[in-house]
Amino acid sequence: MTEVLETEPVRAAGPAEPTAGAGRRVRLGWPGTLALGFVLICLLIALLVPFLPLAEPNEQDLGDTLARYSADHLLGTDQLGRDLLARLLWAIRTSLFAGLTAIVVATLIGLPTGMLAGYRRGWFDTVSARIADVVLTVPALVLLLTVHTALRTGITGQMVTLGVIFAPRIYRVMRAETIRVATMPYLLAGRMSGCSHVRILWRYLLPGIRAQVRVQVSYLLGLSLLIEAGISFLGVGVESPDASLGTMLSGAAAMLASDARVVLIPAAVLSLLILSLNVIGDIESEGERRG
Amino acid sequence: MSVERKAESDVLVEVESVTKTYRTGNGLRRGTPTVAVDGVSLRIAQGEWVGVVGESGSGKSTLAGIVCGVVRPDSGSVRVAGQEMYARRGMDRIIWKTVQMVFQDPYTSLNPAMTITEIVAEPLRLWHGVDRREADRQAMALLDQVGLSSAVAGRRPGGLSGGQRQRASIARALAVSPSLIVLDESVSALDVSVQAQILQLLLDLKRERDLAYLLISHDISVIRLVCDRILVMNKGEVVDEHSAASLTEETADHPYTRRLLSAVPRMTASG
Ligand SMILES: Nc1ncnc2c1ncn2[C@@H]1O[C@H](COP(=O)(O)OP(=O)(O)O)[C@@H](O)[C@H]1O
Ligand SMILES: [Mg+2]
Repeated sequence: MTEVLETEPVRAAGPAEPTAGAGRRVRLGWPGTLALGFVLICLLIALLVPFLPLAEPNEQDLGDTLARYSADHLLGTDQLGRDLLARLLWAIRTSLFAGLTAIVVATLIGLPTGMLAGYRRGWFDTVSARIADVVLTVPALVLLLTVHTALRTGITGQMVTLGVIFAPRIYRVMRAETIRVATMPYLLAGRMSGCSHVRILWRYLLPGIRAQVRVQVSYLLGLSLLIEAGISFLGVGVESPDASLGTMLSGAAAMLASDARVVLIPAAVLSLLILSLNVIGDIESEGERRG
Repeated sequence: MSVERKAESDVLVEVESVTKTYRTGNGLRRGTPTVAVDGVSLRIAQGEWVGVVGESGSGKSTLAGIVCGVVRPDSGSVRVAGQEMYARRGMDRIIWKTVQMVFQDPYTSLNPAMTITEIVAEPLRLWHGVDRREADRQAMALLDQVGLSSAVAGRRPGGLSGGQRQRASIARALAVSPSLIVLDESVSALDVSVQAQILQLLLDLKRERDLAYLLISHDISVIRLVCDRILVMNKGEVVDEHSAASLTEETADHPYTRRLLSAVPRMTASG
């Protein structure tokens, strides 16, 4: 049969249009580009820092404390004479890896359970929703302090715990998203094409909720960084002398009056990272609403 | 209500006095139950084009769901190719080899994350075990058959017009090689000129493949144009049944059918 001339226009995505299109690109604009650029640079630093020609981040030089900028110490030194640039870059690595640990754990738990609950409903939905409710009532800080004192598993243990704390949030969003997408007739069309439930979840549902996964990951990574800084400040996260954005702040907090630079530099990096992640999350969820 | 029937052996789908009641409300408050389909019987034979017409809410989609094994009736029986649909587990899935569906809304009935070729090739691979390359080749042939060019094949549904999407949906259904395709308001969302093109396509495909259709519409003029046999539904019941040729405002014995007919502006004298 020959191609039929269609006089009908290709309609721009309307409100009924599912927003699952792979290849759908969100317009970042300049704030988004800056934010994404900053996060990517930090990720790159996190990956490359062991290979960079940096000073030993934990090496003290008590004869050269709070030094100004110099060729030896591009950002100067801190109150214990440690190279600030080296500490900063290692701190970015430690903090980002810690945050990512929490996110990976939260997603590994929350995404499959949320999808399954929203897709199958029934008893699994009921039981998993109750468990999520219970986990959400546990005060995060209390749990983190308990795990720290009881298990002493270090920052990794703390971030795995944080991942468990975050899992119900991911679970809830993914469950709601799945329920939304699951009403689309194309899922039934897929079943009629012979897809198993697993294939439906993987090829039909997951692409439809992937944008929301990115939104949640952006927000929660920002929150994880904040919490890492918080618990490290309290001494139950990354432990000194190791550098993280949190320990850099706690070690130098007393310097605020005498040499603010030692505090302000890690504080600025942390704030910018969290801000950037939130900007990215906002743009993603905005694009998700507009479709 | 005299309608000639094809021989018993040709019967594809046999629905007998099915009833479906939706119970809304939650655990605390019971909503009023809606009787969507009430004691409907329906037979569709090989190669037959049956139309169901009725106002919105008259139970057409529920009946379509029952025929496709998507909605389980509260009572009555559904037989597809001689097999009782709910006799054993998983039958509702097996019948999709015989009965396929094209949905109403072209904008939500194709997976937006897959290309048109992937969507059409999927049933070939999953139902018929065709390998990937052969499935892609057959999918392209099907797309050609429904009037979609190879330029469209690599696109995702987002880049297609409503009419093109319904063609793709038809190609997806055809890929299973069913005997019956249920079309629930499948042309209703399209412009009139595109509707005519899709109906022509359905007619051509039916001739080539001896397909049966169950075409559902609230628009009796569409139904009357193409169907061999017409069922009129009102409030969950089939109130009237006609062969298409005999259906005019004068011969319609049920007042509801006359009302549907009189609402249509007369376009052709021969009807
Ligand atoms: N899933 C459902 N839950 C509750 N009520 C429904 C559901 N589907 C249909 N109904 C009700 O059943 C009746 C028949 O609906 P439907 O079969 O969709 O009719 P039609 O396709 O002719 O418009 C309507 O009153 C509708 O509100
Ligand atoms: Mg309907």
